[in-house]
Amino acid sequence: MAPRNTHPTADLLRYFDGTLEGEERRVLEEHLKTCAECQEYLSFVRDAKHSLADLSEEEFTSHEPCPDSSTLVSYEAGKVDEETARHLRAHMLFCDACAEEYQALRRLRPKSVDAILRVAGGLVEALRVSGVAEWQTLPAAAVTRATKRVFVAPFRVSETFVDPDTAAESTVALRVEEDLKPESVRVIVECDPLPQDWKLTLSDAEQEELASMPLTERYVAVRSELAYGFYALEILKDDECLGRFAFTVEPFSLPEAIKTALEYLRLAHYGRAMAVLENAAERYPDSREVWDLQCLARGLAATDTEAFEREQNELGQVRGAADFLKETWEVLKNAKMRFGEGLAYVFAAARFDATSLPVDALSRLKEEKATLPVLSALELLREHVRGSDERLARVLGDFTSRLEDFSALMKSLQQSIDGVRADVTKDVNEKFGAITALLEPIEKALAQRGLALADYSPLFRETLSDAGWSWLGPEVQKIFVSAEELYWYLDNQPTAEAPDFSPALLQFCRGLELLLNIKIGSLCTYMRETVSANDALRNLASSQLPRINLDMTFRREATLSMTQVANLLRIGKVIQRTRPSSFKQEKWALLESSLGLADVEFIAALDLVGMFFRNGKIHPRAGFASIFTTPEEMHILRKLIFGFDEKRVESSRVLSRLRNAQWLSEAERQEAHDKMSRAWKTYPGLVNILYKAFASSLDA
Amino acid sequence: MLVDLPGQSAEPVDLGSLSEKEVVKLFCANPKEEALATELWRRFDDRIYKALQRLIFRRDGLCPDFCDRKTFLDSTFTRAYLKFFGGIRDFRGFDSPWSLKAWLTEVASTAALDEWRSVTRPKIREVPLGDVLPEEVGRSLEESEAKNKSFRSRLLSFYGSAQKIPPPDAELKAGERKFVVREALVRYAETSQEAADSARAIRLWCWKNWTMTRIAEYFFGESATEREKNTKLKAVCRELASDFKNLRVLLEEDFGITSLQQV
Repeated sequence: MAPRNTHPTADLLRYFDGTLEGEERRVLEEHLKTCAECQEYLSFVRDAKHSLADLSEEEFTSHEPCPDSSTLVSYEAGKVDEETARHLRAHMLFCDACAEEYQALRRLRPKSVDAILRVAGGLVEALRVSGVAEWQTLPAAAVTRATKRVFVAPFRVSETFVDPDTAAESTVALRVEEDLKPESVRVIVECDPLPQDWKLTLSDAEQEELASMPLTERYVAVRSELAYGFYALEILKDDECLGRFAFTVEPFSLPEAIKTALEYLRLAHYGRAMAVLENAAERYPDSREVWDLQCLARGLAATDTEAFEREQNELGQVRGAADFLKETWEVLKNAKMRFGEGLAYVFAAARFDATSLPVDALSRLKEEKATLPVLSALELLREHVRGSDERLARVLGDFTSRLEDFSALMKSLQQSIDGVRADVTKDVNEKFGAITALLEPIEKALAQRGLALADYSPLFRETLSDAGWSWLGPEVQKIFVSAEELYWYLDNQPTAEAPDFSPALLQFCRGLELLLNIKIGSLCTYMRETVSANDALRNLASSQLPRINLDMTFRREATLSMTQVANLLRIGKVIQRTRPSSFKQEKWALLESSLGLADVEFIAALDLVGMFFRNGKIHPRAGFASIFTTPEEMHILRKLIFGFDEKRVESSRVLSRLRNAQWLSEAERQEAHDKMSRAWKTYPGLVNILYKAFASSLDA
Repeated sequence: MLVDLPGQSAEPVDLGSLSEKEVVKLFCANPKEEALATELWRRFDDRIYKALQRLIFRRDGLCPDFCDRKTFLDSTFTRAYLKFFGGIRDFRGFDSPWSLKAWLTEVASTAALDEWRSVTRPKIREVPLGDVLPEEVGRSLEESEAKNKSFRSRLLSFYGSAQKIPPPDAELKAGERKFVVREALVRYAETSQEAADSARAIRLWCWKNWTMTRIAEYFFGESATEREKNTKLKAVCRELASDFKNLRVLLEEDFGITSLQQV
C-alpha cells in the first residue's frame, strides 16, 4: 500500500535544500507553477529559515547552567518527570554540547523497528514501519491448493546491528508470514553474516517470553502458529539488547480492506485485491461492498488477463484458469444469493458470460443506488474495456458519471461550509447549527444522484460491541456511518488534491454532540437549571471554577454544545463534592455509579474535541490555515471519539494541548495530562466511555 | 573473609557467605568499614568495567574521537567507583536482576559522560549538585530519582515573559519575527522528544546551515550504502516537512500569526 501524501512538501524541502535533482526537480517545478498552496508553504519555510538565520550567536545559544550528567542519562532512559523533560528539551535546543551528549547516549540505545502489519489471505502488508529500516512485502510462492491458499506474500524488514565487543556488523531480517492455522502467523529471522554469540528472544504484549534461541544459523524459524497481537523480538548478546523489532499483527478492518483492495485494483494487482477481499468477506459476511468488490475484482482480472497472469507468475501462483473460473462462479453465486443481481454482480458476471448482460436489466440497474467503492471499481473496468468494447464502456460510463456527481456534491458542500465559516454575523453555535443543516440532508442528496453510503457499521460494532452500537440509536448511527464514509472518501483523494477533511470531522462532531444531548442532555439541563436558579450554588461554581464562562454555560439553546456539556459536568462534580445534597439523588446517580463520566480526562477530552475541532474548525480568525483539517487531525479526532487508531497516533499533540488548556485549572491540567498520557495507547474513545458509563450505571 | 562488626553481630561475619543485598545493608550501616567496601567493590567491579568497555570501545561509543580509549576507560573507571559508592545506598532494586543491571549501566554511563565532559568542556557550569542530591537515605527509589533528576531551564517559554507577544495578525516589525519563530520552536520542542529532535533539526538547517544530508547522518548515523543514505535523507525531509506544517499551525494557534512577512 503506497502511502498517500498530500502535497510534495518533503520534495519541496529537498528542492529548497538543493538536494532534489533531475527528473524529480523538473516535476516539482512544474507542480509549483500551478499549486498556490505549495508556493505558500515554500514561502513560509523560506521566511522561517531567514527568521532563524537572523538570530545572533548570543540569541540562539544557551548561557544557563547545564544539567548534570546523571540527569541527562536519566532523561535518555526515560526516568525523569515530564516537567524536567520539557525543560531539558528546551535547554538542548539551545545548547549544542548537551544535545551532542544526549545524541551520543542515544546512539548507544539498541535500534528499534516498529511495524504495524495487516494480514489477509496469505498477504502480510505493512500499514506503517517506523524509522529508516528497509522493508517490503515479498512476492513468495508457497501454494497450497488444499486450503484454498493462493499464495504467501510475507513481510520482511531488515536492520543492521553491531556487536559491542567485536564491532562486527550483521544484518538481521524479521520475516512475518501467514500460517496455515487461521488467524496466526509464522516468524522467521534471517541474518547475514552469521554473528557470534548472539541470541534472540520473542515476547508478547505481557512481556512473557515465547521463544529464546541462539542465532547459530542464517535462517531461524522462531515460532509458528502465533496468534494475531503485539510481539517484540529482541536480538541480544550476553543479555545486552542490540536491537528490537516490535510488531503488531492484525487483520484488515473493513474500511482498510476496501481501501487496500481498491488501491490494488488500480495497480492491476488483482490476486492481492482478491486475497484482501476474501478475507474481509469472512470477517464481514454481511458487507455488501466487500461482496460487490469481490465480484468486480474477478471481473477485472478476467478483463485485464495480461496483468493478472503477470501477477500470478510473480507470485508463483500455479492455479489454472478452470480453478479461477470455478471459484469466480462460487463468489458470484454467493453474492447473488445474498444481495440479488445488483450492479456489481451484473457487470462482473458479464465478463465471464457475454450473453449475461441483459439489456432490459440496465434500466432496472439505473434505479439502483451505488456506493463509491463499487463505482470506483466500475470506473476501472470502464477504463479497461474502452477501445475493445465501446458499447460496454458507454453503459458503464452512465453509471460511473455518478462519481463526478459525488465530487460536485462534495465541492458544493465544502463551499457552503466555507461560506458559513466566513460569516461574521454568526456566533460559533449558530455556525455549527448552520453546518448541521448542511450535513443533515447529505444522504438524501446522495440518493437523488443515485449514490448510497457504504455501510461501515461493522467497524463501529467491532469497537463498541453490538449492544453498544444499538445503544447509540439509528439517528446517531447514521451520522457516524456517513462521517466515516466521508473520511475514507477524502482519504482516498489523489495526492495533489490536498483535501480538507472538515466535512468528515464536523459530521463526527455532530454525531457526538447529538449523542451527548440524547443520553445526558436531561442530566446537564437539570444541573444547569438547578445551579443557575440558586445564587449560592452559582457563586460556588464561580469561585471554584473561575475559568468557566457561566453565562455561556447556562445559556438556554435548543441543544447543548459539547463545551456546555463538559462545563456542566465539571460544575456538577464540584457541587456534588462540596454540597452533596444539592442535586436529587436519582439525577446524580448516573455520574456517581458510572465510571469515567465525571473524570477529568473525559471532560478534558470532550473539551478538546469541542474547542479545537467543533469550534476551531468553523469559527477561526481570518486567514488561518489551521481552519483546514489535516489527515493527522482526523486521526486524532477518530481516536478521541471512538478509539480508532490504525496509524498509532502520537499523543504529543493532544498532551501539549491539554497542558496549555487555559479553561482548566493547573491541577486539572496536570491530572488530565498524566492520566491521558498513561492511557493513550489503549484509549477507548469518548463514545465507548459514555456507553460503558451507562452500562455500569444500569448494572448498579 | 571474616570481619568484626561491633554493634551488628557478636560473632565475626563471613562476608563471602552473604548475598549482595546483605553486603550492601551492612555497608550502609558501617560506611567506614574498609573490608565491607572492598567486598562490595569486589562483587561489582567486573560488571562495571565490562559495561564501561562496551560503552567506550564500540564504534560510536561514549569517547571523543581525539581521546585514547584505554586512557579514557581508566579515568572513567575511577569516576564509576565514586559514583557507585555515592549511589549504592539509595539503590533498592536488588531483587530484580534487570533493575540492578540498569542501575549499573546508569552508573557507567554517567561516569563516562562526566569524563567526556571533563575533556570536551572543562569549564562547564552544571546545576549545583547540592540542589539536586537526595538529602537522606531511605526515600523510595522513585522519590529519590524524581528529586535527584530535576532541572529547570530559563529558556522554556521565556519569550512570553520577556517580550510582548504581537497581537493576532499584526504585521511583524523588522527584527521581531526571529524571536517569534524562536519561541514557537521552543514551544514545539518541549512537547515530546520527537518534536525536540525536529526542532533541533530545524535549528541545524536554518541557523547553522547544515545540509539535509548532514542532518540525516547526525540523527541516523553513517550510511553503508548510497541507497541507505538516500532513505535516511528522505526520512529527514519527510519529518521536517511535516514539522514545518506543525510549526505553522502553532504560530497561528499560540501567537495568532498567519504570515511571517515583515513590514
